[in-house]
Amino acid sequence: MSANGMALDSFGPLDRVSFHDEQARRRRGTWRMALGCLLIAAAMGIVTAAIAGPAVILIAGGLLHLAAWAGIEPAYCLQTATALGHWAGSKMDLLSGIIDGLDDKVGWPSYWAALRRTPELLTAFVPGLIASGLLWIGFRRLLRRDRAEDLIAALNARPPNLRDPEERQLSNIVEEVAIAAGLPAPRLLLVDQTAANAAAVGSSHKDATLLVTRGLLDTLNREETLAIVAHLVASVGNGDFAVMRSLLAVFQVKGFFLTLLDLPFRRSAWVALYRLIAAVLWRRGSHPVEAAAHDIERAISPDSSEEINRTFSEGRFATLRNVLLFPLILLMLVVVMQKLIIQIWTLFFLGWPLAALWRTRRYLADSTAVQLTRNPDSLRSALLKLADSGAVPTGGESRDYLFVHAAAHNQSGFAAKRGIADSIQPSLHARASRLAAQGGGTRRRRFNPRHAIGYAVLGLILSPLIGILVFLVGMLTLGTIVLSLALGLTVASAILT
Amino acid sequence: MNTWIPWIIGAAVVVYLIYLYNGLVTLRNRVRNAWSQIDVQLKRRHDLIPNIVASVKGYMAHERGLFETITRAREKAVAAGSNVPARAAAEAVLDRSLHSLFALAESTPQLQASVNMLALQEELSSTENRIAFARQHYNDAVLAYNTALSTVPSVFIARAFAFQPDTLYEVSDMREREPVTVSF
Repeated sequence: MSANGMALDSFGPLDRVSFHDEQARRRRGTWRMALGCLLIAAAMGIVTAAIAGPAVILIAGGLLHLAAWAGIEPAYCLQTATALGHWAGSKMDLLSGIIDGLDDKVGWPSYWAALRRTPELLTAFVPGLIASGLLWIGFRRLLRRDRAEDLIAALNARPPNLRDPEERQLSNIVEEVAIAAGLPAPRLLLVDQTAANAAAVGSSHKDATLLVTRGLLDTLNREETLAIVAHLVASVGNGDFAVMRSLLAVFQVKGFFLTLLDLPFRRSAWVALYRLIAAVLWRRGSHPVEAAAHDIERAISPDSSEEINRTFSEGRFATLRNVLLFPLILLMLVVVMQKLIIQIWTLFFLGWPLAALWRTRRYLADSTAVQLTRNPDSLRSALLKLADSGAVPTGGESRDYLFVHAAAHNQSGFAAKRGIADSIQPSLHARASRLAAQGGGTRRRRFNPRHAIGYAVLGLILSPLIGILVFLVGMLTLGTIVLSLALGLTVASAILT
Repeated sequence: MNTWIPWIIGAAVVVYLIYLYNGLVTLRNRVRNAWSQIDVQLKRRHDLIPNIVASVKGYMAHERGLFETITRAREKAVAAGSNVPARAAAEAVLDRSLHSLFALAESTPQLQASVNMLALQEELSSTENRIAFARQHYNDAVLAYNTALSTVPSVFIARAFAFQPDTLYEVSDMREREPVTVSF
């Protein structure tokens, strides 16, 4: 084996992976994580649907009454509206029947009978789930217009100066990589900052923009810059923008329903709704969509709950507002609970698959970059250099997940949605060692039994705590669902019949 | 009810066959598009060559033979058109003579001192990269297309509609990879 005094296994990694296999693995990972996200989002969707369903019925009934008033088939419209109200009423009766059955004073047979009737109640969630699904598709379409112009403006990005040799070279590199990927060359913008970093923004490969800092040009050589650009173009070509939109649209749907429910308590909810309608109907371009998406998402953030608090306690006519809003106190309770549930679920459950999904996409883009450049070594050394001297440029913090080097503990923007989960970006060192497995360099990651034992012990100690946490969150969730459904169905049936 | 089932299965099969056929056409178009990309990049190099020759000629008057090789190789490559093997061979000769030229240019201090030369070098190495990447993209596309042509289930569609496999763009002879030796 050691023909000329050198062990053969010192050449290259032992567990060598081809980029095709790595890509296939990361694509499977994408499906797995997307399924995880979907399941948890659907579970959260049931909570939202408990209040959104009755709201949809109420809105449908209102539209039918409007149609009747306008003289379009009045008899039929009114009849349908009343039927909707009766349907809501029947579901309400079912719900109260089940709750009575679960009363402590009655024994097991009664519990059992109540539980057996629960599946009939599930149809009460259907209108809300269908509305959520349609809104998700709508928001995904709307977010296509978001081209991160706020980010480009905040970074003061400018077109490259082709007389400068470095920038000329960079624009050549971008065109080369686009040829390798068989994509149209993306627009290139430079950021005059010393932090070495780069990002891709846009909505699809047709209108992608690459943002590259001057610091990156000064830190990396031609091959390494090529590798980083290849990573970004690979990310564009793999459709990461669409993945990102699908994730963000989930939060938009939840934010939309809560914005509607916030209307009586929060003046900014009216602004958010107006901006959304304007962005959909008449205001063209990227900026209105960015502003509307930001406002809609505020409804699920803790500041909106604080703002509701202020409505009742501060400003002029606070007492008058209290009196006027008193009949809505139950609605306010439901709204606050809904927000709390969404925040808790995002913090503890949704963050994991979400962050894992985005990390898988980073690895996928890395291995696609290797396919484009056939040079895992240069991407590896570029990532290691960025790990040393990279930083998110000033102005890019709100969308740091788009950058190659994202700060590990940034709590703004998308990063805030990952909750207590692991980082939204894999560490650059972890990525570098995956690239080593694809042939760049000789480092490889080994399974460390000491770490495994450590995790197992930690898991044993924490499992009762995690159990208690899951139980508490589950009870709170169930309570929110029942309260939301009861309030929504009662109001809907009372108004429509 | 039962009479519908064969119809539904038949319709599903037809839809699946259409899907396979469209997949093959997409792959074939991707190959053609990739070829036209190589063509664009090779033309770019052809356009750059007179420029390069003009700017180094003054410093390297004694290398007339090399300049002639380059010019002839360029003409041959232009003449080969879209005949893949002939084009690949002619471009390979051009490749090697350009590399020799740049190896010589690097050992000519007067040339190295001129900034213009650096810019030219960047343009040429970028062009080389573009050609290499376009070729790689073309070969990847051909590989995907040829694999689809010879694997189940699309092989049946390929046979039925007489899809022809495409040729990879490769340097045919090992000797052609070596740089041209230049005698002083």
